[in-house]
This record gives sequence, structure tokens and C-alpha cells, in this order.
Amino acid sequence: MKKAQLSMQFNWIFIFIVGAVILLFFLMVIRNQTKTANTELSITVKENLDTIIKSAESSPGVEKIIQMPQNNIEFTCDFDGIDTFSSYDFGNGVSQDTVYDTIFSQREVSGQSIISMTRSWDMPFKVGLFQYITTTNTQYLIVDDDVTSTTGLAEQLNNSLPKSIKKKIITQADTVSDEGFDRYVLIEFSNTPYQKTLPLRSKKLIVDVGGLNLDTYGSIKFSSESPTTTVGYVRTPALLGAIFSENSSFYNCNIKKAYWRLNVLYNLTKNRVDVLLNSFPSGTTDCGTIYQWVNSKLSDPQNLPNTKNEAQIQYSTYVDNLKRQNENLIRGNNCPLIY
Amino acid sequence: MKKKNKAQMEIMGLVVIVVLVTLGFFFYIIFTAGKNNSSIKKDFEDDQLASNFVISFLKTDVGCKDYTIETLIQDCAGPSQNIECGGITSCDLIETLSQVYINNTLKKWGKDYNLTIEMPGSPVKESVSYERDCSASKYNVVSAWQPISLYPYKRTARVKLDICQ
Amino acid sequence: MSFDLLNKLKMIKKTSRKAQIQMAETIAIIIVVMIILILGMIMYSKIKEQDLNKKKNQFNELDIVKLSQIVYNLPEIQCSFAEVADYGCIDKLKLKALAEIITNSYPSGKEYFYYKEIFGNSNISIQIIYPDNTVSEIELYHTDIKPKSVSIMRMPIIVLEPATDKTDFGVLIIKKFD
Repeated sequence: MKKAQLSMQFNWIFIFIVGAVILLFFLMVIRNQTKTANTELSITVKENLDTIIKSAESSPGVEKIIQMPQNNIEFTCDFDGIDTFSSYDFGNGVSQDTVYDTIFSQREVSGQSIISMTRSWDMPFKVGLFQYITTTNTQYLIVDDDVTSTTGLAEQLNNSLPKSIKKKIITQADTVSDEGFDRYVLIEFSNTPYQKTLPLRSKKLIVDVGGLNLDTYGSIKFSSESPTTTVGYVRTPALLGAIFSENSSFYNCNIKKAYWRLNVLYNLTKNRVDVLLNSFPSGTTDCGTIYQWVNSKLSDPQNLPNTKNEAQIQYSTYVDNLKRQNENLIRGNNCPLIY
Repeated sequence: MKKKNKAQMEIMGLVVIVVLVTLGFFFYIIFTAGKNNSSIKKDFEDDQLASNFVISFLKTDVGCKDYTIETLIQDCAGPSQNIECGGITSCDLIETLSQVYINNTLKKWGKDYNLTIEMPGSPVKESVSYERDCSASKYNVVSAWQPISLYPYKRTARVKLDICQ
Repeated sequence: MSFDLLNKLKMIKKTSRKAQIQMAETIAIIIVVMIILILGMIMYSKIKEQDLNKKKNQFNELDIVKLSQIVYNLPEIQCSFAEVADYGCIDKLKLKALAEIITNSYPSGKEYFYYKEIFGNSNISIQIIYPDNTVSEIELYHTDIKPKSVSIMRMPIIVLEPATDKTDFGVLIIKKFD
């Protein structure tokens, strides 16, 4: 009897051990499968997002609402003094480098609807497309600089922002309360400061427009940062970049990429004008005179630091002059254009 | 004994089911392995090929003054042919150049195509066509076409390219 | 008495054999179940492998489609009139200038690295077909790798000569390597 009882107990112990091993095995398999499935999903989402971003290259000014599975995307852009390193990361070790793409966004974008917009940055010829990414969980507030008219800077900015984002124009007297958004971005102009308290998780920008309208040049002060940082911008797409960026360093990193491309394009244009100058020598044709001037000036912008405030005025003047010379080539001269 | 036989038959039945299911899975794997899955590139390539070919074809300079192929088509489709390049009329030049561009592109790449230039009302040729193994009933067809205004005449010429997959 | 003992022994032997058979049966069942499980896992992993290969091929195809879109719309070589970009057209002078910049900075210059990040392992060239049936080719970018496989995309395009304002029939050829 004792032997039987003992063997019975051993039986049960054996059953428990084997059962536990089998259970553990299947739990491990399930865990691995879940991890693999998540990684697969991240890869698919990454490829789809990358395709959407790349295909946006052929359609500037287009707004898109991208539906995605609930995912956290982390955008990074770092500058080490020489090179920029930028990418977006889905977690699970899945990421995509964005060497070519200039993407202005918050550091972390989450949710099922992502809003993307592209704008062409023309200096004066097309340098590239700026892409802006945000979500419906961010509220954009523009402080009205001219309540008496509808052509003020605030109105111009409001019209430039995507229609599908949460945006509104407020006055200096309005109070901004926490309406449950993840983030608040307040944009004020230097002549109409906003003094009231903002909710937590807010970003405040003070825009000082240098020219006659928004689409010229100016400076942007990231006043909610510590220490406050001031950056320059040339043309509206760059201003929008500062609005959508997480902070000044993210903006600076992306704008450096854009200026690097701009320098390459100025080089290209210079080489092109050199060849045109051979076909239309200066002194013999009106075309040549213009080409000669352009050729001598095309190296100038490359010596300008591209994120300093003062440089923006010079860039903007240069761009306007190049545009004017190109138009002179069209008017009655029948010359091949600079761009 | 009968009960024993019945139980044995049941077991055999189960074994047969398991074997059949296993074989079924094997056949499924073999079948899906042989399947040609992706055609993203092919679909995109043929789609853009047809439309880009037609647009580029029409805008190409023919190396004679400022004439493009579109200009030649407009001239050939008109009541009288005024364009002549090196003694060749616009209609003949269209045929020559079409052969040049097709031979160096679609034919060279092994594509099955049907390029048709319709010039209604032309006293010379109302339609010019180049085809290679592109019967619409046999293949999937990707098409692109471009109308050409024959103003001041109330007619429209058309260039159509079918790429047969 | 001895007859009873004999009967008892016979019973024990019978029971023992029956127990042995039952144990063998149980072990056989376990072995068969394990075999079926293993077969099932092998089949599942084969199916998964098929699925992953299919996705890999799809992504490779998407890559070349993406690259073709980038090159087709590249501002560096795209034709433009004033500030308006002309799609489906490449400016020959810009093309030659960019090709020169990339070639001059090959293999360790910053410009080459920048375009290598964009174009990856590929060869990009533009073939120009002239009305007299001659063909010329301008290479924009290339990489020196031994490819396992090549995927080719050809896109007809217009090539503009700005000095003479002439447009020629061109083909943008993109060869993507794996």
C-alpha cells in the first residue's frame, strides 16, 4: 500500500512538472509570436508611411490625413556640428532614416490620424518639399495682430496652415484654457504680445516679420524654451517648419538640411549659367549681361551662415534679385532662363 | 468482438482524417510557393510607361525648325500638308519617327504594345498603327491616350498607346 | 493448493502484460501527438517564411517605385519655367552639372554620400534618342557593388536643351541592386 501511495504521489509530481514545462513552452511561443507580429506591423506601417512621404514629393501643397494603427512614432533630428542625422522610429527596432526628407514635426507623434502637409520651398527656384506632420491632438493658436482687418499677418498665417488641424485665431484678451489637447502651440507677432498664462505642455513662438508680408523673411523666438532661442526664416514654408517643430534645435537641424540642398542647387545653377554664357557671351547679347551678373553673384549665399537671424535679410534680398533677373530674361529678350 | 471492431474502425477513421489534413496542408504550401505574388512594380511601370511615352512622344522635337511630333500630326491631319523636312512630308516623318522611338524603347524592352495615331479627316492617312502581340482579348491592357486639337477644324486627332500585360 | 498458486501466477502475468501493453499504447500516443505537433510547427514556419518572402519582394518592389518617384521629381534636374516645375522633363544642363558634382565627390565626398543616401545601391542614367536614330547616354549616379539581383525601371521623359530650347525623347533608366 505504501509503495502504491508513493508511486501515486510521484505520478502526480511527474504530471505537474511535465504540464508546467509544456505550458511554459507554449507561453514562450505565444510571447515570441506576439513580438514578431508587432515587429511585422511596425515594418508594414513604416513602409506605408515611407511610401506616402516619398509620393508626396510629386504633389506639393497637398494635405493628407493618414490613418494608422495605434502607434507611437518618434521623429529625431540631430546635428553634430558637421552632419545631420535624422530618422523616425516605430519602436521594436524599426526605424527609417530621413536623410533626404525635410520633415518638421513634434518629437513624438501618436494616435490613429496623422495630418501631413507639403509645401515647396522656393529660393527662388524649387529647392525641395518641406513636410509637416502633426496630429489632431495639438491645438494651434494664433494671436491676432490686426483685429480691424482680414489681411493681417495672423490671417495670412491661418490661411497657410492646413485646414484639417485644430487651429484658431485669438485676441490678446482671450484666455487659453486646457481643453484636453496633448499640446498647445501659440504663435504671436512681435507687435501683439500675449501675456496670459498658457496650459501646461505649451510651446510659444514670437514671430518678427522683417518684410512687408509673411512670405518674406524674419525671426522666430522660441520663448517657452530655456534659454530662449531665436532662429531666422526665409519664406513661409520655413516659418511653418518652426511652428510644427518640436523645438528650435529640431527646426535648426532640418533647416540645415534644406540649406545644404540649396547650396548644391546654387552650384548647379552656376554651372548651368556658365554653359549658357558660352552660348550667349556677355557684351554681344543682352542675355549675356544678365548671365554675367548672376554668375558673379551665385557664390555669395554659400558664404552666409544659414541659421543666423541677420543672414535671412541677405538671403531674402538675394532671392528677390535672382527672381528679378530671371524675369528680365523673359521680358522681350527671349533668352533661356536662369531657372 | 463487435464493439472492438467498431472502436478500431473509429480509430482508423481518425487516422485517415489526420493524414488527409496533413496532405492538404502540404499541397497548399506547394501551391502557394509556385504562385507569382507581387506585381506592384509591373503595374506601376506599365501604367507610367503608357502615359509618359505618349506625352514625351508628342513633345519631342523632330530636328527640323521648331516642329514637334504633335505639330506634324496636326499638319498631317489637316486638309493640306504644308510641312516638309528634307523633302519628307509630315505624314511620312510621323511614320519614320514612330518607328525610331518604338524600336529603341518598347520593342527593345520586349513589351507588347499597340500605338495608334488617329487623324480623322486626313487626306493622306486617317490612322497609323504599330502593334506587337497585343490582341485585347488575350491580355490585360494598360492604356494611355492624348487628344490633339486640330483647330480651326472641328476635329480631334488622338494618340493612344496600349501596353499589353 | 498448487493449482490455486498457478492460477494466481497466471493472473499476475496476464495483468502485467496488459499493463505493459497499456503503457506502450500511452507512449505511442504521446509519440504520435509529438510528431503531429512537430509537423504542424514545421508547416506553420514554412507558411510564415513564404509570407515573409512575399512581403520582402513587395517591399523591394516598393523601393524601386519610390526611387523612381524621387528621381523623376528631383528639383536638381527637373525642368522649370520661372518658378513653375515642369513634370516629365529633365534639364540637360542641370543633369550634366549634377552628374559632375556627384562624380567629382566620388567616393568619399559629402555630396556623393548625400546622394548615396537618397539613391542607395543603384545606377541612374538618362538615355536620349535622337530623330536620326542615334542614342546617347548620360550617367547620373552609380555604385560599385556586386549585385545579387537587379531590378530595372524605365520611364520615358523629355530632355530639354535650354540653350537651343530643343526637346528630345529620353528614357530615365533606374537599376536597383539587391
